[in-house]
Amino acid sequence: MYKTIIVHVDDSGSMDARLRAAAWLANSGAAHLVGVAATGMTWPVYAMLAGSLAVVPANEFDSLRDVARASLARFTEAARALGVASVEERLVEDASRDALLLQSRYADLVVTSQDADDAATVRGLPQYLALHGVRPVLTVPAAYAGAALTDVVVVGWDGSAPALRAIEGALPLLQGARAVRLALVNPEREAGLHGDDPGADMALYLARHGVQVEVFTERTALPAGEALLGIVRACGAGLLVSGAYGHSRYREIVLGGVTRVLLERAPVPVLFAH
Amino acid sequence: MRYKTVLVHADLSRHAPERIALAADLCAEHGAHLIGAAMTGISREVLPNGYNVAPGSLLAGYFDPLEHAARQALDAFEAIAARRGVSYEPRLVCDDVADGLVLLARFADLLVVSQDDPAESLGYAAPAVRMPDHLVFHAARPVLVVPAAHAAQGCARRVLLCWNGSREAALAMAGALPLLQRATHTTLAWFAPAFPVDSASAQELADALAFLKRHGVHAEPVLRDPGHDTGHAILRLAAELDCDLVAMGCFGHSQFSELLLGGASRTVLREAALPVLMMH
Repeated sequence: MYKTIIVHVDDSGSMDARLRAAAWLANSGAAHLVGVAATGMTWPVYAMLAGSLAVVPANEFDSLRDVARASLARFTEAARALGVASVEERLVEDASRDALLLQSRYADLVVTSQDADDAATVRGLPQYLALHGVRPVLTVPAAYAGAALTDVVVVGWDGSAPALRAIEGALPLLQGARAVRLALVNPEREAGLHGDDPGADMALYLARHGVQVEVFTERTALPAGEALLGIVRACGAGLLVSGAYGHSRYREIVLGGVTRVLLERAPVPVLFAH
Repeated sequence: MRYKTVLVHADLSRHAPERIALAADLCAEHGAHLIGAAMTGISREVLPNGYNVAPGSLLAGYFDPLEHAARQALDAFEAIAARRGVSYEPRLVCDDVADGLVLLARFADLLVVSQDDPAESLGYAAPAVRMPDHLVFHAARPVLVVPAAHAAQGCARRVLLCWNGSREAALAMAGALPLLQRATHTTLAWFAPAFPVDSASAQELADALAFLKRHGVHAEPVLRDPGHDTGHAILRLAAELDCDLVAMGCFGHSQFSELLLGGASRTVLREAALPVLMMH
């Protein structure tokens, strides 16, 4: 079970949906919920920008803290209203992605919003956390309204290590799910990884963890990300589990196509790991 | 999470019986299924469709003894597992040892192998050199390395969890949870080179302990100056505290096919006289 859950706290319009998902998870496992809000930069960085460069007003750092604190206060009130018993606020003086990356080390799961075009959200946050963090990341679409995450779950499986870690990270949810569909898209392309009966080994491994899965194999000309979204819609799934792929060696994160599609357009929360 | 599937390497090494017995004990304790995997040592690039060499052929002359050795190893595995009364299955894999284990480890929660023993010659096979290292990096699963020296029987009760605030340490903490939850005594050892510790680090330590506590693990923190040699400091502390398992993250990176391990990880893997759980 998830016992410690981190949720990113900010002022954006997607905060409400994000908190609903985090609260749902916290309540279903009696977990401790930690809201993490970041000032956006550290004091030394601020001082540099306010000093010789005079890019920002010299005495505005306190207001960055105040804005974050106010977000946290709203978060605590809303979390308690949603029935979460154990709530904690963390204000971190750093960029959001670095703050969440560090805090997530001592948690079981991080909850963020989907990567959207909304100017108020931190661009690239979910993929950064998924690729560089050590814990699974749940990205929540802004339209998420509180539906149970353990009704029908679709798990994308391609034999790779990121997908494996995503499944491991999702295990508590899979164990509580009504139905789990293990989806393999064009498995012949990774024949070496799958062996004779694609999905069978993973189905057996999961069965020993108390998770009964139905294996779905889809052969399609669509890109894998689109194919997965199609399966999600067709099954009426409330949650998708997928590996996150990217080239973390490069300064500018270049994502695999699957991940970008899911991070931007999945209609349901997606649990990622790398 | 509990271990539900444990994968143990089966071969004809003199360390195999103890390794398999330890894996079987773990399975008995966790109610897990034990898979014993013996590899022919023939890469799947050479024989991609399993061992299908025509009898009497030239290839058979070279490869049959390898396949035979793997089958013998599995017979020995089955005898030990059956005696322990756990649910088990043998798997004969026509592949390189390390590659075969990496692929199979995807469908297990834990991989159990022996510490390298370069002095042992298995005649037919290339000596296993740095196999645990390779597995830790590529298996995407925790790896339990059983020492060449005689290890105590039964499951770990006194665990030394190594921590230094790094991401590798965070991974090790989570990966070791099923073992920590069954231990009677867990020490979280922080090898920090600078004392007194700053408040941010102290907060991180508190967070790590809280994370463990919420998972039912009450770890006692111990702070030590590692000197210049964290690896030996870890082993000394484990001996001092009479631990029967060390759990740690593994530093380093794999460049091309050459593995570059961090000094502490390398020392512990080479010299530990007790089981080590490593994660990457």
